[in-house]
Amino acid sequence: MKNRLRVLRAERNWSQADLAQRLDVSRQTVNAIETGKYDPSLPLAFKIARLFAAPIEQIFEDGAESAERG
Amino acid sequence: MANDSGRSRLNGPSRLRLFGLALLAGGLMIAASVVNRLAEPGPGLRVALAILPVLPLAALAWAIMRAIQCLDELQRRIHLDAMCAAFVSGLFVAVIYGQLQHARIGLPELNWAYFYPVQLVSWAIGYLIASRRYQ
Repeated sequence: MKNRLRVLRAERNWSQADLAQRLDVSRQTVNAIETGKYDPSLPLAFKIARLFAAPIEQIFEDGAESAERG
Repeated sequence: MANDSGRSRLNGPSRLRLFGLALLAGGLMIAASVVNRLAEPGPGLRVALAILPVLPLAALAWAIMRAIQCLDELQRRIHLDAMCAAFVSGLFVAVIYGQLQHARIGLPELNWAYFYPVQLVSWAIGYLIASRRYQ
């Protein structure tokens, strides 16, 4: 699953460790989500959405959905 | 740059407690074996010595459970993968060794206590492999 986490984080000048601290997860988890190696659980996805004050679908993008649009 | 987040990784005291308990359990096992072999105590004392490591092992199990509960979801998944790998590899080793013993090719009888370090080492190797997948 693609996501805009890295972009949103960069806009706020947060490091991965800063974001990890705000989400109460490890830096490894933030990195794995950003690189698309790990898809977060629904509760964590909602937490991320709340943190960036954006709907989940604006942060995470289903690969199949984007393929359909393209 | 800020430090790594605290939730995901074991903090210093937790790591030290786990290491200390594992060391204590291992040390007591070795000490009990040595005393049982060399001093040849009575049956009651032999049993008491043999189950002496149970207390630190129980504390170690509790500490591991607490440590796992403190991890975040990715770390838990990594540990689950690692434990599955440890369980399956332990199963393979036990079954293959048992079968080879049945084949009477001269393999020595192994103590059940060997299962504990084998599982721990398998878990550690599994953790390293599973962890690399998410880096």
